This record gives sequence, structure tokens and C-alpha cells, in this order.
Amino acid sequence: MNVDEYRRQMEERLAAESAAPREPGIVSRFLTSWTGARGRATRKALDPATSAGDIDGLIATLRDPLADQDARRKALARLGAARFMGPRFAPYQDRYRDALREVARDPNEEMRRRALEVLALEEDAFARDLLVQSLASPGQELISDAQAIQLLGHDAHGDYAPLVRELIGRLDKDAVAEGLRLLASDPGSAEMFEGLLRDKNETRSVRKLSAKGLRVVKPEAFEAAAREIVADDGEDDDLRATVLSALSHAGETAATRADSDFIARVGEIAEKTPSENLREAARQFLKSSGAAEEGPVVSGG
Amino acid sequence: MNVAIEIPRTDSAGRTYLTWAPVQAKARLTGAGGSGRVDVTLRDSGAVGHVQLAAIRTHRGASSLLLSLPRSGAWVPFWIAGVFQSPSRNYGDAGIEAVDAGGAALGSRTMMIRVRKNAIDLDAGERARFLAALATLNGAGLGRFKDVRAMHARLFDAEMHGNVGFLPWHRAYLLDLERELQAIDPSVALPYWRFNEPAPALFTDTYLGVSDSNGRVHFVAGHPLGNWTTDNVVGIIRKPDFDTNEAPWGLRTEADTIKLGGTGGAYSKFIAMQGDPHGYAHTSFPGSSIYDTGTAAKDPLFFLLHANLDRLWAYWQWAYKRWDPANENSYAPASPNRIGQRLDDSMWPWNGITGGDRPTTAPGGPLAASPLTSAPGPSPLVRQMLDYQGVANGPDLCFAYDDVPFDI
Repeated sequence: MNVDEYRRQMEERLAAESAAPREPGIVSRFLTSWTGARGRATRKALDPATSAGDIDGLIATLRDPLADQDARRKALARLGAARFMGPRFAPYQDRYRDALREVARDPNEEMRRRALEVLALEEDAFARDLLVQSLASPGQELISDAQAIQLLGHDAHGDYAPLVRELIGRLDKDAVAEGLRLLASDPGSAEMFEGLLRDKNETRSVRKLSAKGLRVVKPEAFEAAAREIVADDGEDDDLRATVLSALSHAGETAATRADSDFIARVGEIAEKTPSENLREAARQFLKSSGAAEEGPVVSGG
Repeated sequence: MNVAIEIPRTDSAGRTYLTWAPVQAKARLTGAGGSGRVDVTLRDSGAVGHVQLAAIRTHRGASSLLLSLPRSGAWVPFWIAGVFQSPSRNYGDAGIEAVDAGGAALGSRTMMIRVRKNAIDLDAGERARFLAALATLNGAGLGRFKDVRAMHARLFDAEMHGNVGFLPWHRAYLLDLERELQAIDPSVALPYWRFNEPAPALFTDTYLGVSDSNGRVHFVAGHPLGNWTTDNVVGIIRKPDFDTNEAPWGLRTEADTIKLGGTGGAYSKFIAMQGDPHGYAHTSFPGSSIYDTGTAAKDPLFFLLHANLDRLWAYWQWAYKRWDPANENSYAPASPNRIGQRLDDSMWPWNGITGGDRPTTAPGGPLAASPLTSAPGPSPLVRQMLDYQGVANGPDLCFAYDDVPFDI
């Protein structure tokens, strides 16, 4: 492409795109419930706010349980975007947080969830307490158990492992999955993970999550179990692919990647398995172990 | 008689990586003997990636160049660059060869024209290599990615958001990550998510994953990112509030973003893109890691989102010719901006400075080195991030975008 011609085309395109209306699909979607002046106000409102009046107006809309749900969602979206202005948003941060804490107990479940999501991402202690309370109060949950556990997982410094272990027997499968993910931060869960991983009667999903958790809390136990699972043609192929992928990309499994017997076994798997995912994982492993290396191509002088 | 060719941007394994920016190379005769000169033609020999050649530094090179090489073996310089919009897909699919007047081959070099591409334009091999490198960097939570993630935490917000330094800081951040990936696989360049356009191929279980009703991202079994772990928590939370077969709604268009700087092309106005489309792109995923500045770097998609923002900045720079820090419209004035935001400031965390107006810690250490260039150095300055292709004789940082040319 001739660069000078490309510049000319760019200048034409910018002029044409600025003059043309926006793609109808996008415009009609976010103006669906808005017409005329309200639509124009929404469009203006979706520009990042810089004035106190704009921000305070959005916070008021967010807090109002009687306001249109769409307006409340959009207010939250705009406040979230304004938050990316960093220090410039600082004067509004306390009012914003207080509004979110209020909405975390809103009559509307969706708004409760959205507010709790934002607060949990910010590691808000008030929100964390609400989430713990929600988990401990069957029948009076603010949001689903799965969502509550997921949000608690955002707290990098919290210790929710004892709570999750205590509750895990009564949780639904989605919440169990979130629980297993959260427990990957708990070294005390190593034995549980290893037991679940090696239990062929467990579901594939639980075994895969347990593999990932064991990988984090006790890498050497994971490596030993993973090698056995990969080598076993009687094992679930998706599980074999998952653990083989982990062996490919983890630094401390260098010994496994240098083990010629294991590499030969993976080579057999790459040739013979009918599972496409396992075959691809095997190829990735062989590549990471240097069994399929390419050299530079330089010739002449 | 042969022709030896030396090209900068060559690593210790003899692999050469070019972008659109011309680099000065050299050629000489070997085994010729005698006096006088021999006319040799250098020409593009690539099958996918292509190069252009010139006697001077220009964006208007040609596919061949006639050189008169002394029989003494003295070097003769020439300029070489990737042909705009003809990048490589694999190492070795680009190259040059030297032939004599009769067309006999005297020498050759293979190379790669390596640029950042739209993520949905990567072929299967490029995608696989990118994902594998990213997964290795993550190391299931124990790899070097821990430091990359740690740099972009809420505690350090003032260093990178809400101010004029937003773009150069993130340009350095992406460069740091990309170099870490290239240390694992040098054929990898960071792709970008062009969020103003539909990218359904990106949000699949073979690429960056599919979200379930709880926002959990799923991959096919054995996918390199299937073991993605950050902060000791396994997995990615991503809840798009748009149909991933379409683009997120409500974002400022690319055309309007480019025109933010006004007809005068002023950076101080263009930086408003930090709110829209940047902020809106992030908040198109409510309740997700990528939604919040403190957790955004936990999702790999974050880096593709920011690569697109950086590309939009690069595109604006090209449109208005704003590479030179000496031009007042290329950047913002020193006052009233805080430390770390001014042209001659070094940037945290790479400068390792803590305390005072800086954060109390500086994770990650110096900026990752490159085998291809010493620029910008371990502790980059803001000004070094502007002229990333060396158009205005700044430091060529050895990256480029597939749709932003080198243009003198």
C-alpha cells in the first residue's frame, strides 16, 4: 500500500465518517427506550462527565429505586467510565461509594448485584460483610451463592476458605465451582484438591477445577498427579488435555518437560488419540519441551 | 563471490525482525578480490512479508535496489523496511536476496516483518503462538506475569490514570509486556481488540474465551489460557453487557476519537479519549475484572483493549504528524502536571523510585530489554514514548501497528 495514497484515503474517510450518522444498530439499541429530548440527553449524558452537577445527577439516578431501570444501569455505566479519570474522580468517590452501598440493598436484585460487583472489585469492606451475610442466610440471599463467592474472590487479602469449606455441602453446582476457584488461594485445601482430582467418580468439571487449584497450592503434588493422568488412556481426555496444558506452561515443571520417557509417551498420545483437544495439548507440550524446535534461516555471506 | 548482508534488529540467534520503520543495513562482497566494483541487485524475496529498499531513509522504498559493491569488500549502506500492510505471519516468510547482473544468487537473508495486528486477523499459527507465550508468562499464576499485573493496581492509580501521562505510561506498559512475550517467543507481537468493530472470532472458546451466565470464561480443554491464574485465583471473570457478535455499544467512533484533538491536532484535547472510548470500553463489562482499574490487568483482554487505544494514539499521531516532543501539540505542557507526566520525567515503576510523590513500592523492576534495540532503556522517559518509530529521529522502539504507517 502506497503510504501517500493511504494518507489521502484516511483524510477522506475521517471526513465521511464524521458526516454520516452512526451505525443504526448501535444507535437504536441504546436509544430503544428513549425518544426525542431524552435520547439526546442520554447521548450527552454518556459523554464522560467532568462537572459536579453531572456526576451528582448520575449518583442521584443510581440511588433512586423508583427511577427507570435502564436509566439506573446507564448511570452506573457512566459513573464507572468516569472513574477511569483517576484522581479527577476523587472528589466524587465517597458519594459514589455511599450510593453503591445503598444500592447493594436495593429492592431490585439486578441493581443489588451490579452495585455489589463494583464494590467487591474495589475490595469494599461493607460489601464483603453483606456478601458473607448473604451466604450465611439461606432464603435471604442478596444475590446467588455463586455470585457471592465469586465476588468475595476479588478480595486478595481476605480469608474466606473456612466459610466456603463449611458451606460447600449445601451449595449448588455453580456455587461449588466458584468455591473451588476461591479455595485455590488456600494452602489448606491441597489435600481436598488432590482427592477430588484423583477421584474418577467425580464430575469432569470438579476434577478440572481441582487440578487448577492443586496446581496453585501444591505444584509438586499437581505435577505428580498430572503425569499419571496424562499417561492413563482410561482417563477423561478433556481432563488429560487440561493438565497437559498446565504442564506445558508452568515454569517449575521443567523436569517433566525434560523427561524423555514422558515426552515419548506424550508423543504417542499426539499420534494416536482421537481427541482433537488432547492432540493439540500434546503438540503444545512437545513444543514447550523442545521436541519440535525450528532454527533460524540465514544464508549467504 | 558472495554478498554478506548485515541488518540491525537481529538477535543473537541470527533472527531479524523489522517493522515499517526503515533501518540502515549494509552489504559487501566477500571472496571477490581485485579492484573495481560489482553491480549487485538487492531485491525482496518474501512470500508473505515484504520489504522495501532504498538508498536513503524514506517511506517510499522499492522492491529492488541496485548497489555498486567494491571488490575490496568495503561495506555499502542501504535502507530496508517492511512494506506497509504486507506483514509476516511466520518467521522466514520475508527476506531479501542479492543477485548479480545475470540473476545468479550471491546471498540472502530471511526475516520477519513483525507488527501488532487486529486480533481477529491472526491466523491459527499466530494465535497459537500468542496464547502459548501468554500462558507461559502467566505460568498458572507463578510466572513473570505476576509483576505485570501488580504494576496496574488501584494503589498506583495516580501514576497512570486521570492525567496526561495516561497514554505514554500505557504505551510503556504494553511494550514491557510484549517484550516479555517475545523473550518466550520472538515471533509474537501483541494483538489489539478493535473494539469499535464486531469481533465475534475473539470471544470464542478457542481464542479469548466464552463467558457463561456467571461471567466465568470458558475455553476448550487444553487451551493455553485454561489454567490462567492471577492473585492466586483461577480463571477469568468477564461479563459483557453487549452481544459479543457485535461491538460494544455507545463507544466514541474511531473517526470521532481521531478528531478529538481538533483541527489543530492538540494532544491536550485528544487525551479526552481516556474517558470515551477508553473508560466505556472497560465498563462494557460490568462486574468483571476488566471493569475496574485495580483488577483490569487480571484479564488478558485488558492488554488487547489497551493495544487498540495505543493504536488509536499512534493513528492520531500519524494523522497530525505529532511524533516530535518539540512540537507543543505533540504532548501536554509540563505545568500543571504532576511528576511522571512531564516529557522529561521517568516513569514509575520502571524508574524504581518510591516515596514522596511516588508510590511506596515499584513492582516489576526495569522495563524489559529487547535484543533488537537498546531503546528506550530500562527507565524510560515520557518523551521516549512519543516517536516510537523514529520518524522524528526519536528512538525506534521496534513495534508498529498494521494500519499505522511509517511516514516521513
